[in-house]
Amino acid sequence: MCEILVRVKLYGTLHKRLAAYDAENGLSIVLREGDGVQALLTRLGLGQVRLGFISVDGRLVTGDAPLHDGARVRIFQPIFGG
Amino acid sequence: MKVIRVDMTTKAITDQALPAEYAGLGGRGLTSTLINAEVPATCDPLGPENRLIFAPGYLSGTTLINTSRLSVGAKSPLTGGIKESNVGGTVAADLAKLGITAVVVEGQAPADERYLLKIDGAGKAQLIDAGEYKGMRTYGFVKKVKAACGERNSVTCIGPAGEFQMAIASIQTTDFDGRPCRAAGRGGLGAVMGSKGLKALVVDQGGKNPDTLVDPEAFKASAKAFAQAVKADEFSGEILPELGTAALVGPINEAGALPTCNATQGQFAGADKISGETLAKTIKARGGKTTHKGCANCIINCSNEYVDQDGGYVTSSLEYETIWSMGAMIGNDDLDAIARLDFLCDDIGLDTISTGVAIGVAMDAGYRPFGDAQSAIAMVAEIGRGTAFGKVLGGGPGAVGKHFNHQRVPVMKNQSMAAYDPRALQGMAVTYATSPMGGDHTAGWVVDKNLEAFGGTLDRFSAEGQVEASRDTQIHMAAVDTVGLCDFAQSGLAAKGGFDHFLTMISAKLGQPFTKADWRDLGRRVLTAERDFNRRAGFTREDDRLPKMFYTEPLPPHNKVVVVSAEQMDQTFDF
Repeated sequence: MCEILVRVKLYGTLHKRLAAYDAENGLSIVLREGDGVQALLTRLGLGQVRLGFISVDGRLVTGDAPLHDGARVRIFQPIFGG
Repeated sequence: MKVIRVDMTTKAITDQALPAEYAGLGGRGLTSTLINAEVPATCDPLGPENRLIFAPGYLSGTTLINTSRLSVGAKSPLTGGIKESNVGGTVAADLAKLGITAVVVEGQAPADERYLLKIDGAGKAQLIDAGEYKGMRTYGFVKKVKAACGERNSVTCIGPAGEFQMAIASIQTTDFDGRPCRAAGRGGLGAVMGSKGLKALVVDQGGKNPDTLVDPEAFKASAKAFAQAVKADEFSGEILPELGTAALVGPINEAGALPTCNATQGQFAGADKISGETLAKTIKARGGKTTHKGCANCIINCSNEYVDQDGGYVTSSLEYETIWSMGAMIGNDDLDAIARLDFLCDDIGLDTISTGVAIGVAMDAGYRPFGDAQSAIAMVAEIGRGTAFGKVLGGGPGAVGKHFNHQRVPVMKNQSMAAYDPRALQGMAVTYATSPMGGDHTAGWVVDKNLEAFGGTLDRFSAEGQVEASRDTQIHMAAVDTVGLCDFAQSGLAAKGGFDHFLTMISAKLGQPFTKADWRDLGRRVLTAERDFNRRAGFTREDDRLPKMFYTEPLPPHNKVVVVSAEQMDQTFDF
């Protein structure tokens, strides 16, 4: 089974949930080829955390979206504005 | 519950009991209904017939958290229509604790005269000659006024832009630390204040005469539950204290909805350099403050104090809208320059949104390149000096567009849009186009309803359901602005049982039941008064449209245009 490497950045206060998070560079996570966003969230321990949206390479995606080697993933919390 | 009326022509000051027809109103509800009733709709906004009204929210001055919101209303010199702009700080709580429901300023002093309106601890008002402060910037002015009148006063004032009667002049008010860094920015109300000859409203902070609550026990119990809900909410209880409103930069940019380089793009390449995360990190590394209290009764603490590399104060509070208008909108990814621009606007007395967009239009027209932060600083300095070009900029984005004969001007009713591009969030197109206030994000923020991940059910690129969403939110926000609740404490309304607690508190002050239907009626009443004024001022349905650029220029990266039709826009106020 091949592996893929994805780069992850967390926004808001999500960094508090991952002790090893590097705010400057984010995280580099190795996944299996075929894994998607949901597998990534599970791997990060964010599977049960209330999240806003997730983007891959600058486009918003849903939880079942696929990931590819080199994907740039950004994870956001829900927001309210005014 | 008294109204203080000040005639700047005769210098007469009279106290009046709040007329019965305005019972239950405060904030925007009171300013808008009073203006609609008392101000000739076709009057010169900078003439003696216009009235400038300061009104704390209906629940300001109570023990309920996050209710120190002051509404300021008048006919706007920017839009030519009715205007309400609200602001935090302490003044709303200060006025309400003196039992003052509104201060109505009418008439006009001679052009070379300046006055302070000083309200003492007994709620008595007097006009004091302020000629010595003429032309002063707000930070220096506040220092002098506090030295003269005492530290325990809030100061709500104008800077040079207001005295020049520029159409994007703000009214600044002091925050919890006594700095004039909170702005009633939109609509040029600083110019109206300047036209009256009123340099400042100075209010004693020791008031002990708030309106009586009919059922204080019911109020207390609901206020406690409401506060707990706001604290427990992740956004108001954790994200805002840590990152402030700048937390919005990342997600709005990622959604492709952050207007960039005068709204030619929806994503800014430098967004990470100006994000809430970077802001918080920078402030902490330099010894500044996040989790800062800016307003009376606040438990969210979304404010911050931005400092320079030596730890010296630069500005407070650096917020999302300013980071956008002085950042992405002008192609500037330098946080230090954004902070400097924010300070200059507060000091000169300018709306940061309109000022940034005016600079963006000038850059788009080729006056200076996008991203040239030093030129942006120089342009704002020109406004402060009142140079010929500074006066063009101080006229707002519309005036700048005319000056350069440049058509790409993102304004609605001549007031600039805010930090959400309507092509990527069609619901905001409806709010911007139809709000009686002109381009205004707070009048009907429907971003959440447009994004599924935030609980929304609408397709943000489709027109379907957007009119209904905007209508619903505009009605709701007209009521929120009337009671004086901070936008960000609305997490308390969304909590289980939260809205019922809120209605209980209104009822506990009002002395009669207040239902969800009454809440909606309140919002509709305010909007109806505002639209009636605008209609009589000459507005037609053609004014409820967006500039052509939003219908014809696809916005990268999604390459969409606004698809809400004119016919759909016209249904917004079918209620």
